[in-house]
Amino acid sequence: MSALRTAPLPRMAGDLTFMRAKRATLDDLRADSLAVIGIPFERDTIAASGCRFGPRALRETSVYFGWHVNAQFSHPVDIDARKQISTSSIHDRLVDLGDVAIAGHLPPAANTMIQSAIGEIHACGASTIILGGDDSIVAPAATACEGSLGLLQFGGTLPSVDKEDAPLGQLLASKRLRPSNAVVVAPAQNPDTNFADEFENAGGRLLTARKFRRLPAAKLTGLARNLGNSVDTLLLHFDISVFSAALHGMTQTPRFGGLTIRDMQPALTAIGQAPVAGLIVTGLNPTKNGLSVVKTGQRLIVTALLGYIYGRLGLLSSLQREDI
Amino acid sequence: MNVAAPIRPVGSFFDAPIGDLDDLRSGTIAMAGVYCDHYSGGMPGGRLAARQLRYASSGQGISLRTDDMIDLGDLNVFPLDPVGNEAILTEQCTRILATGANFLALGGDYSVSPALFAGLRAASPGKSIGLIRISRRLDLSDVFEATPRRDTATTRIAAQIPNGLSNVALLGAAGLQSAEEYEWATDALFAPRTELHDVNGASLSICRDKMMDCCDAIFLSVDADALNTRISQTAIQSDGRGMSTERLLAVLETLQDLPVRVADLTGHLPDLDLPGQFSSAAIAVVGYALAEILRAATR
Repeated sequence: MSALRTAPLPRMAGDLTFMRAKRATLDDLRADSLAVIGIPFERDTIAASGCRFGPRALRETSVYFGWHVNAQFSHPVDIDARKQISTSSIHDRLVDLGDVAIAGHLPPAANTMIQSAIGEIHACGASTIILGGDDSIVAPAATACEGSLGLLQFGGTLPSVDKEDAPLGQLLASKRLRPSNAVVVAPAQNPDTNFADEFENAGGRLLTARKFRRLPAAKLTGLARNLGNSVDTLLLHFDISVFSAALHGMTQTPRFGGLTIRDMQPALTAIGQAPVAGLIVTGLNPTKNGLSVVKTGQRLIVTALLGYIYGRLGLLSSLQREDI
Repeated sequence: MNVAAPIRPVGSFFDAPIGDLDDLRSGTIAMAGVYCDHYSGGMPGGRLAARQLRYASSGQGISLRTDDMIDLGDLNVFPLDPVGNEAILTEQCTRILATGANFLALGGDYSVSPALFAGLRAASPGKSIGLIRISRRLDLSDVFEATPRRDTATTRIAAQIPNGLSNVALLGAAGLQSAEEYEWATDALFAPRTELHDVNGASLSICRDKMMDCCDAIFLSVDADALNTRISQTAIQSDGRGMSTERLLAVLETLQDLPVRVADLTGHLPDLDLPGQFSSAAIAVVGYALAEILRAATR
């Protein structure tokens, strides 16, 4: 095969893939693949629209992290660890599938399309990073997974009187998720007392931001591993509302007292070491005011995701300190 | 496995198939992005146009004919080496044209046009080649007097043509004052913007007929600064009275029967934030119009 291009491209040239990962199709997926897929969908709430632009905004920001993923760059150096990080295995395993072609569809059809796409990816044995979208994509994505379901939810909303107004409520009401297989961390609102009592009495775990900070990383990894081992499919729902609004305001549900990047990155890194089938990022609304496309908050989100990717692909040993 | 899942892959130009040199043949329209805005002065940003044009022109559910089009990805460039950069752009253009395909280059600034023109010249030995350039500016500055590579795109291309400016048509310029300053430029054909309001007007017809008569192969270069600033930001300060997209498309339609082998679309500085989607979509429409000219030229 004669190739037109004979030299590496500049860092930002080429396809707009997540972290400059290789583009791929379903046929390219393997059991050890980590597939990125966008779901640019949101409820028809005109006043707060914008989450459908989340996948694109995250991809735009993520290209600045391309040296972790794209083979054309030299290996990054971890200054703290004082060593070069070998990223060769990321180059093959992290791929970008594109977006679910969902634009213009009404929720029932959209849910079917989400289920179909996510179901096919998981049927290949690959795990996913799903770029939303608002949290309405969580229930159909979870429904697509086979077997018993476990859910780790960071931020996001909780069921209120109408139990189906939040993804957690939908999954619990449909019996797709058992409360004992669910852990909710730092929700964006105070839980309804009735729901909290009912949920915790049934075995569910609710952790406030303050409680969560006291949890050692090893214990969090253990918690995620135990949960992952007790179910067929473990999903991680990472809603941007988990961050404190002082840090990141580009969400539909800004809040104070949330977590910081110092809390989230180690948490995602720890959880990534458990058998997580899919990470679902929701709630980013890039149309909120910020510093253009490479907004500080978006960079922080991608930074947090980087820890998850290293953990999920088993590369954390390459970060251990050694003298050079 | 059902591979018909509703997944839209990461974009290619107009959702065209992705390929490489082996996929090209006579009748194919090869497309490539040009990540280069380092050598023409003015505002940077044109290097990101290819990425945004792919995003804006794919997944829109619009049914465009793409069976004869191939997206080759982005061309190699050397951001710190102007001479090397020109050489590699020329070489890649030549290799694409050697397959028999016609070539559409998308993105970059107007410093890429002379390099790609050199590629057309190398691929067309013994043929009479010409340039049609649609731009708000004439870019006729002297190569040795101007800041290196600034406002010199036309001059540098004309220097490569044995017949000089007599094989050059400059359309859409905001004024001809600068042309009058250069006596040697009077050989060129001019159709200023004010005379393009009527696409059946004499200026455009004369340019088209003359180029048809004297050229075996034509390089068609469109600078986004010909458009109104409401449509497109451009590589230099632009003119609010530029052409509408509709007007530019009408002008391009009149060029459909010319032997155009290479076209480029430069000068678009995409806004990476959400409002930028509109202008990138408008520029993508212009890009597809160029592809149709290249397609017509293969018939």
